[in-house]
Amino acid sequence: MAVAQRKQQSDTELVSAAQRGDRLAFEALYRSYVGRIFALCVRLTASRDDAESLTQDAFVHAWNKLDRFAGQSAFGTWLHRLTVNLMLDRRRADQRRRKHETPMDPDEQAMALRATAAPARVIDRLELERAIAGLPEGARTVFVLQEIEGYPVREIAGMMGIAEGTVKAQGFRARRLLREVLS
Amino acid sequence: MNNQDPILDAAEQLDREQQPMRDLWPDIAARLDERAQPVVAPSRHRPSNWRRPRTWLAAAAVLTAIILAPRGWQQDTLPADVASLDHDYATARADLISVMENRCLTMPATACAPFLNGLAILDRTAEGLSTALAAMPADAPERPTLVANYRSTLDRTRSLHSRAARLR
Repeated sequence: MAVAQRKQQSDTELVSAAQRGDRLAFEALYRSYVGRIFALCVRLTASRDDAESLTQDAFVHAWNKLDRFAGQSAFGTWLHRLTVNLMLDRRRADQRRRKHETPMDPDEQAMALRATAAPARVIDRLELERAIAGLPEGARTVFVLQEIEGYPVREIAGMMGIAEGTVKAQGFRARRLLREVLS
Repeated sequence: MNNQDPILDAAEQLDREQQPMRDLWPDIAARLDERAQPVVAPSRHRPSNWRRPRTWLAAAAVLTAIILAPRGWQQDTLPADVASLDHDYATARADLISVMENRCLTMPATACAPFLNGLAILDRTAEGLSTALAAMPADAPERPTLVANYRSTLDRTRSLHSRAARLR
């Protein structure tokens, strides 16, 4: 059965087939969810190249962990969460490697953005995407997960391994920087 | 929903889906194939499964099925760019198959299988892209993306051919 026909099957049927090693079923799941996962990765990494790489890693990771998916949540939710965790794991590893480097002052980034951003009363989508991409890493992650993807503060804190108060502070900081850039 | 904060309102309006510029599936499928490779310790005393006629007959059957698979998406009247891509893909595919016909008879099935699986996946991708492009108006905004994806699929087929040619 071709992938296009397999996409007519429910996620439950496809996941079940994929868990038995059916590669076509997994490809159909990939075709259904790649847009959603790639959009998430673009916003979290602020780079289309990194997002392509992370998207691939997420689907390979999902295939390897598929036997652990028990159907307690929707497959899309599970895949989304797995992608966020994978990205956060990578970032922690990168931060450990870069710990001796001097981080760029996040407010310097905002100032650089402010210099190039055109003032607008109605916020253009492209402009907002660009401004989000220019946010400091932590603030961007919180803003994307909270305001775009709709994760609750407690869950974000758990995934990022930080206190809820820190999540709120990062969210506040993200909104302040975006307001400065977009005003 | 109105948050009375234009930034949050705008954030809620952002697209929840974005498509990558190229089809990522061939790379993902190749990585799944790599991981699926069983680790087999070499043995001097026991003949490998590959020496058993049924094993290579099975691989030969898969290869024959791929070679003979109907290329139903190739139509008589196609836009020039699609016809050119179809032609180039058919050439790259034929080159790969000619190498695989020889290699699959002389190497273990576990080494041959990823190439056969890869070719089957590339065939499906090329078929989907060609069919979509043939049905799409010449000025459709998605057309350049699909053409780029088709070229990328073509490059991957050539790359698979190069890897197959280097196999010992």
